[in-house]
Amino acid sequence: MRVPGRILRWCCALTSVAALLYGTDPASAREGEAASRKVQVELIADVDAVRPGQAFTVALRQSIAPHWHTYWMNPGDSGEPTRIVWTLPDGFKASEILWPMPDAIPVGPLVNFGYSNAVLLPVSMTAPADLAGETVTLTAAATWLVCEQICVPESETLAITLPVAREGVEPGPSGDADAIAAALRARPADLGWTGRVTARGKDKLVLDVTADGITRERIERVRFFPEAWGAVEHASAQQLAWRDGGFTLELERGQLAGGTTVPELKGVLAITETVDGTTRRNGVTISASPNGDGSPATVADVRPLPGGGTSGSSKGVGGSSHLGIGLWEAALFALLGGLILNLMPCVLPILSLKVLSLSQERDHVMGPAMAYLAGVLASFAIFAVALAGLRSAGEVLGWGFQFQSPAFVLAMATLFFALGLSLSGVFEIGGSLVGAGDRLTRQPGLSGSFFTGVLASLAATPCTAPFMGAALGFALTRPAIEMGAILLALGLGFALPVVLISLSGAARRLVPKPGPWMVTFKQVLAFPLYATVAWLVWVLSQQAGSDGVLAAGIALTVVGFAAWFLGRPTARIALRVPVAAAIAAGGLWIGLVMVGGAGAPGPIAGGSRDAYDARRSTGAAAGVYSADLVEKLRSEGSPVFVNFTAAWCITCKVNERVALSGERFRQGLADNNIAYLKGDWTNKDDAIADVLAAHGRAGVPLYLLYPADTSAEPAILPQLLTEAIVLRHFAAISKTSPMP
Amino acid sequence: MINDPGKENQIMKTAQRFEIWSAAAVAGLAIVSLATAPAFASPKVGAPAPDFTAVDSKGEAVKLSNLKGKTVILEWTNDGCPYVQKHYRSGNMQKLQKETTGDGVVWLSVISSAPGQQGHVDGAEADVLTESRHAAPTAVLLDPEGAIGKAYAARVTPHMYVIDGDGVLRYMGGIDDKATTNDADVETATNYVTNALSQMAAGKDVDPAITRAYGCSIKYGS
Repeated sequence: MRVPGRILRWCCALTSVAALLYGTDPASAREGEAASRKVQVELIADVDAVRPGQAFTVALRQSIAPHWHTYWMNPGDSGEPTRIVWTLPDGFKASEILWPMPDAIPVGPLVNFGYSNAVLLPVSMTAPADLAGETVTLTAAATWLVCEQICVPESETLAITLPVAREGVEPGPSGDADAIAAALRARPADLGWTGRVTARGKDKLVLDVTADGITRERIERVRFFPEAWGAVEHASAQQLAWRDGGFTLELERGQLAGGTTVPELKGVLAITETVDGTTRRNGVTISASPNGDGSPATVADVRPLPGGGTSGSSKGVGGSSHLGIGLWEAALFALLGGLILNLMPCVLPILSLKVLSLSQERDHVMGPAMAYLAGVLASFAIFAVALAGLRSAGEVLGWGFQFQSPAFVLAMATLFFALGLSLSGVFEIGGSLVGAGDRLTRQPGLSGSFFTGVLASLAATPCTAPFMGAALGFALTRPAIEMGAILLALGLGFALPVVLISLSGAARRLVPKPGPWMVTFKQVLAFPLYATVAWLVWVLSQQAGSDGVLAAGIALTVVGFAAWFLGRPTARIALRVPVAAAIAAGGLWIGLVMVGGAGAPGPIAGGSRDAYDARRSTGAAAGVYSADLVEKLRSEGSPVFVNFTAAWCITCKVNERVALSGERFRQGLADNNIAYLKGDWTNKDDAIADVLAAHGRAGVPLYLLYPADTSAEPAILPQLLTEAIVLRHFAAISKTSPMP
Repeated sequence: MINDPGKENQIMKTAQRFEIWSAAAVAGLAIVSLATAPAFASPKVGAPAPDFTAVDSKGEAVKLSNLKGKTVILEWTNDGCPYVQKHYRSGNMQKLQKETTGDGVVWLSVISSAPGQQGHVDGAEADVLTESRHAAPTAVLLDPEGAIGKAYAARVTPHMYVIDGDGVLRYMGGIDDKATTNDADVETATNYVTNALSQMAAGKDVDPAITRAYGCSIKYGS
């Protein structure tokens, strides 16, 4: 062990001395010495001449020795970013380094953010409008740290001299233009994603990203690179979880973000996406504030259900962070909320009947009352465990999270519908009061009351009472034990009225004696249940679009038929029950299959796709792709550029952002008389799938440039576009196409 | 509430069963909430500094909790690191060591490079290093397992920690605010260790108490 250690140290000392020599006085560094460096550098430009007033890009090219690396703007746990100090002619302006996406480079238990092998660090230059003279010389004093096992600071002063373009002469691209364009393509893009940061437990932060159209299928990895040290631990695992319309990353709090404060998070997300069997990494900028970009959530905002596909429950989490309530207050609120929950239209009918049935039993009330309480609390405990379990798996969930599933909403709608029909008197099972579920709830003794409690709890989940929102929002940010305590307090509050009425002789005596009035009462109670059904169908319409409503309609109709069949007095009961059950199950199954089918396009279902188009329309107005339109345009003498894209394709969106939305792209289309069409593959489309297959692709992005000559094949552009690539193809096609 | 004493037994039974359920539910929650241990501990400024026992370059045991009553400075070091070299070449680190130990502060330099990794030394080599760079720490601690480094979440050389006489961690982070390898920057930089010591002497809270430590990554074995 000692010998290698010594050799290493010796080598290391030598390199350090060498680094010191070169590093402190670059002018004295001879070429032979420069060659022994770990990083070879070069200054390049993307134009062959500078035009007055024009912006262009220069770049520091670092060719890095194998296994060594240089650093990003945030170097990670150690290291130092490359710096450039410019000496420029009068009037020139240089931007900061336009950092390309870094890699995460593990170093034992630590991690660095930087670059290996080769990297171009572009800088945007602007020439003054009154630029005179024959040539300009741009001088860069660059310093950087390069590390493998050891670190070596290196530096060099470089210069590039460019001719000044004569008036009327448009500067062309230099030989390095493509490389610089590719480096600019490798920068993170702003796709309009928004982020929100919440605390989770003591040590974790959750970065919740709303990414329009993103779906999990294509995404292999997501990693957050913070732009500065301190807010999050660089090396800790980042737990990814998906939700409708976005995802969450669980991060570990950094040293500057201790305690309970929630920091702002700024940086870039590296999204590794599978595109036609290969993986592509795209960078997306993200800036996430503790309360999200919208207005702070209020108690009224904390609702159980996804409104229009976005998660209402996650708002609850945001709301809690600034409500500033403690555990006891939260438990008290939960208790109050539970009490009020009894008055909600989804619960009141069931409980009213339970109270009536309990009050009729003059003797054995203690057991049933306690069993009912146990049933409620057990349900809430199960809910708490499920919530904690899913949360530890990285999901961001809230009260009523199961309502984010269209299938669950449909099943609940049919259950409430069947309960309503039973109360309306369409059918009764064994003289039951409550109907479906009543086989269990009417069982004598404790188990019957227990399951009434379970049924009531289940029925309560769609409703959120006042006070509950704040308590639940708080609960969701707490450790599992506290969350469980708050949920159990909620259950206790929920169970309390029925338990107290049951146990109190006086209260029971207040309940009127059974009589014919009960039939009317029962029938009236059906209507809150129908109202609940109407609301659930509306929710379904938000989740699964018009197809979901149709599915609900069919399921409800079939269940209605089953109820009617069950209620017919003529047939034998032994026959009626299984047949009705089979019919009802069949109806529900059909509905579920349809909802499953309708849900397939995921978060882009329904109207939101139009919104996607409207928002994503990339400046250059694109027509909608169809094969006929392409042929028509070509026969009219116009080349056609087709962009096959999808809302969930990150590579597509980055391409649109960096290469298909700028002024030069628009100008390129206009100059070459090229028509621009977009084929949106956000939802499966067989016609587009055929085009993709014909060009050997299984998915988007695909960029085709059809020449006007209808007998010629289209040119296929690369999957990673730069403006330069697109413009070069445009220029090439205009040479071969007859101009009109 | 209970108007039929004859039912009390039954209710008690139900209640007992209920307690068992609650206990089971809470136990379930506890299991679910068990978080995975982080790779690094996270020492907290204002909380007791993690205790450790280490062997120094002379082979003597040093136990942090035995140093109560004295201010302790931990300095992670690696002679091959250009950021460390900046502070030794300029004489900055030695000057700080002499000044503080002169005031009764215990200065512990820590070497956490694992065997086979760059910067790993044995006791004799550590002493040679101390002599050759005219360093003046109270002791040089050898931490080849990285146990102290990980307990303090030390990331780089030089990473600095200041612990007060009550054993409370008061400062952790960089040695100063100029994250470069340029010797000349030492003159103009704000030294965070000096800053922490003077604020502690004045009975004030240390500010900044946590900064980004700049330097070379510590060569841990794993």
